Amino acid sequence: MMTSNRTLGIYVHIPFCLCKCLYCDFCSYTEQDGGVHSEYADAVIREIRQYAERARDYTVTSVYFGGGTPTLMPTTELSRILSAIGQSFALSPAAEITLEANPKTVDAEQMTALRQIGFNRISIGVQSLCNSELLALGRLHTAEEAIETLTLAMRHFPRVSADLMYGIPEQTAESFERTLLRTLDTGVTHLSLYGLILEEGTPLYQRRTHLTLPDEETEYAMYLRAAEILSARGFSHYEISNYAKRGKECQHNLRYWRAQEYMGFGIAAHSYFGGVRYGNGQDLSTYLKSEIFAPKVSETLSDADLRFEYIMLALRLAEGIEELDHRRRFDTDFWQTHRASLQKYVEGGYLKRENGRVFLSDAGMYIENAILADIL
Amino acid sequence: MTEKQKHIRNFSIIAHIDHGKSTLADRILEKTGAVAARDMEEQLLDDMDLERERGITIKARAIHLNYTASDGELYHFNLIDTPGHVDFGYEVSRSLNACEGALLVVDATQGVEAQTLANAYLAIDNDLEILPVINKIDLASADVDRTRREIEDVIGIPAEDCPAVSAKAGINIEDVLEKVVRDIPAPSGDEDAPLKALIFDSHYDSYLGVVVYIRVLDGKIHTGDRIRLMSTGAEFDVVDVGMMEPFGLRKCGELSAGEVGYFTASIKTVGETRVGDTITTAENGATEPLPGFRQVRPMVYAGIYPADGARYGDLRDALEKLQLNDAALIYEPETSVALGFGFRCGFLGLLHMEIIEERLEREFNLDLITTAPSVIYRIKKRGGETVMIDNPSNYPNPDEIEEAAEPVVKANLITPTEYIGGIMDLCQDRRGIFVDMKYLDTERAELHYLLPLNEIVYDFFDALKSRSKGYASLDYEFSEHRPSKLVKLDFLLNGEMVDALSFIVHEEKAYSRARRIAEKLKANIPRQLFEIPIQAAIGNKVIARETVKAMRKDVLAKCYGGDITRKKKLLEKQKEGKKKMRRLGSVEVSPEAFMAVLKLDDDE
Repeated sequence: MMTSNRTLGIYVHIPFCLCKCLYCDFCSYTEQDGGVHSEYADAVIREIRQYAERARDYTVTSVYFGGGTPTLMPTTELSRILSAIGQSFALSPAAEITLEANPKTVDAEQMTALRQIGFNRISIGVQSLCNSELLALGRLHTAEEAIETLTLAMRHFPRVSADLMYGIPEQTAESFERTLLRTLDTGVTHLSLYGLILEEGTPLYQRRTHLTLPDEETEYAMYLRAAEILSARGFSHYEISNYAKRGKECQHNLRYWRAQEYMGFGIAAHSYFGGVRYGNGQDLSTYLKSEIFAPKVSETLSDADLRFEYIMLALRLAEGIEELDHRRRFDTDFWQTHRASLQKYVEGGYLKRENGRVFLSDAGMYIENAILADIL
Repeated sequence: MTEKQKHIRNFSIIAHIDHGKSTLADRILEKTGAVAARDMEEQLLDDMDLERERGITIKARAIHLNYTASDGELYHFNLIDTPGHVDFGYEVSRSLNACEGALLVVDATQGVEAQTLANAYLAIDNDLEILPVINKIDLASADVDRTRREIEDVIGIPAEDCPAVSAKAGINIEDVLEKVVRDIPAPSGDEDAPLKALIFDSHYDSYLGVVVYIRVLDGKIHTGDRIRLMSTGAEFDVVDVGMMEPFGLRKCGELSAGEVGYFTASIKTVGETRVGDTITTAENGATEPLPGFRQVRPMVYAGIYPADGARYGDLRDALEKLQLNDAALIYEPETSVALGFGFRCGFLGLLHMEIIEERLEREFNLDLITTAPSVIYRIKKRGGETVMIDNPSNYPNPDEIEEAAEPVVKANLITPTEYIGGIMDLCQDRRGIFVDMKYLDTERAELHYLLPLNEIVYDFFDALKSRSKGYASLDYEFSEHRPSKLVKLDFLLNGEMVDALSFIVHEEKAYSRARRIAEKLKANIPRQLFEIPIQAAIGNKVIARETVKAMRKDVLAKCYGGDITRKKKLLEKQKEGKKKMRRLGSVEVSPEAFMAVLKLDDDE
């Protein structure tokens, strides 16, 4: 059997929130009558059982509960889902098992329980530690409550990550730096740092002309300043939006960037398995009623797609493209093929080629799309 | 006058754009039995798609029709269609020269307009009998009485009993035909005198060569004759002589004084048969040509480039084909640092230019980049030499110039009185010199201005339209070259001059235009890795400056729960946009950026 080297990640989408944040365009529902959580857990378990069949030869090395706000679901329901994964898949004892949480939605008692049922990593949606900014984003917690939750998490979990944002309304270079430093003071070992994007259809987008947003030069300065501070604190900028202490990188998210296989369960969850990318529909009631699950969108990747995605994803990572690996996979030389368009990025300090790897610098990561659109 | 001549009527239809000239022509064709109504495609005389779509006639065409009048006699009508736009004024005048009369179509809902007047004057200058026809009487807003009064007061021709028709609905068309028989004089001319025939149009046919449309004024032309074109002295043997029937050419072997028809003589290009030229026999021919011939010269020039440089050859082929039927179009290869290989093209005017551009894009499926239209400047150099400059790139250095002169046109504007103020401001702003103004009636006025042509090619039509809600009309003709304080304005992107953006402008206008174009460029140049300074300069002096800031955040920070497809789609869209970009040195510019610079809005 050649099963042992095939690994899989599992994503579970928990689409419940107390209230929708003003910038959010993820799939989430705010109705919270008690029944729906257990109904949803039932459906997810049915879906897990249906698909597990296909991954019999795989070892699951990471599990990620994202949302929404997974901690809004009773721990007993989360436990049922996690158990189902353990029963249906070969779950590695060393697997990284993460769940996302929002400040104030989880207390010490719940954390203890979450640890007991198997979660070993928690990612807290802090976003900002400035109350006026939190208000502008429509977050339901204060800076103090976020610190409290982070501190609590540090006591319970071996690995804690915080999400922060820059480029949010009311934010200044100073307030951002304060947020960053106070977050680091809690001892977190992983940080996701996102630039706010005003997505169409969100309340924040509709209000965009009335917002006091930091100008783009300030925003860029925040990004560079964060990279500088984090580097000084021993974090590596291992992916466009992610920083970690050595060994604390998020194994699950790395799968995405390394084009490794994962299965997603729950509404709006995406999967990449067997050369096919597919995604579930977003309608909760349809999902709850489903006996047989089928993806809403599905795309079988061609050779060209595979290479396109490989480059697009690999360049998100600090490790970049390993030239030897590229040659092995696609039988072409990455550097030679794209040299004409790559050269200027090297000269401008956006791209580096060292030790058989081609990768983006901090400045390059900030404009990854433009570079990709040019070279692909 | 011969018996034959007594039964010939040669006439044109003239009108302002959209007053229904082509529709009336269609009805006449229908009534004379040339075309069965059910077979008729709208506006048969305009046989180019583009003409049909725009509802205007670009090239003149002539048709021979038979009409049995109420007096029981059979009459031969030669209906000569004329181009309806100011750019083709000379061609109109030659077509009119081939006629004894003209139907002046006036829209009863609009009244007399600038080109109604311009065309009427042309007809009067050519001693034509003018027969007013009031059209569109079926529309609710038609005011026939007022239109009659206007024709009488403004143009000064009687309109008491002129036909009031609806060409569209086919009302009173017989009236028009009877009037043609009764009021338009039969042609005269001596059949026995040496041949004198006027070329009023021509078209290229791949089998016959050039088909030359003529009006015989004196003498006869036969198949087999050796003829001479009097302006060039070129001689040809006539292969065929005949008449233009609605659905093709009909050979008849001979045309005599008073008749309209065609001949072919294995002529290779329409450029050899110039409109307005006189044809006579090579032996015992006429000694004096008909008056009024002049060489048609382009008034407006622009660089035309394929958006995709690889299609240069296709563009050349397309221009070659268009030129076969359009002697007024001239082109020569041109190279631009910015745009690569293309052509410098000369046009009669802006409409002519637009038509050529559209035909290139539509009929030949080309994507084009067109530079700002330029007029022809006359530059007297210090050495005493005088040069005509149609391309800003060739404009001499300021210290070599003794005197620069620009073309000035006589402009005739007709407008509802409420817009007079706005139009006068516009003309003033465009360096116009007021000549006079008269009220056509209580509601409309006619203004005369001397205007530099380079102000007209610079977005004048749009400005006029927006200031008069589309009601004002403009007509102009070349007057002269006048000394003027001109400067060449250059644009630099990232320190490199972009030749295709240079243009000539009056000193006083240089600053404001430089600023506006710099702003436009800024808005249309996508951000790149580095800051791009945009500079507008006269010689070495920078007079306006903008900066395109360096590209900032362009990344999808989060990949929503592994939704890779979303990111991929975004990138593919971005790639599409990128493909269209042109590299100007180190700067990438979209074709739209060029076009945006050319399409300036009314002076904000």
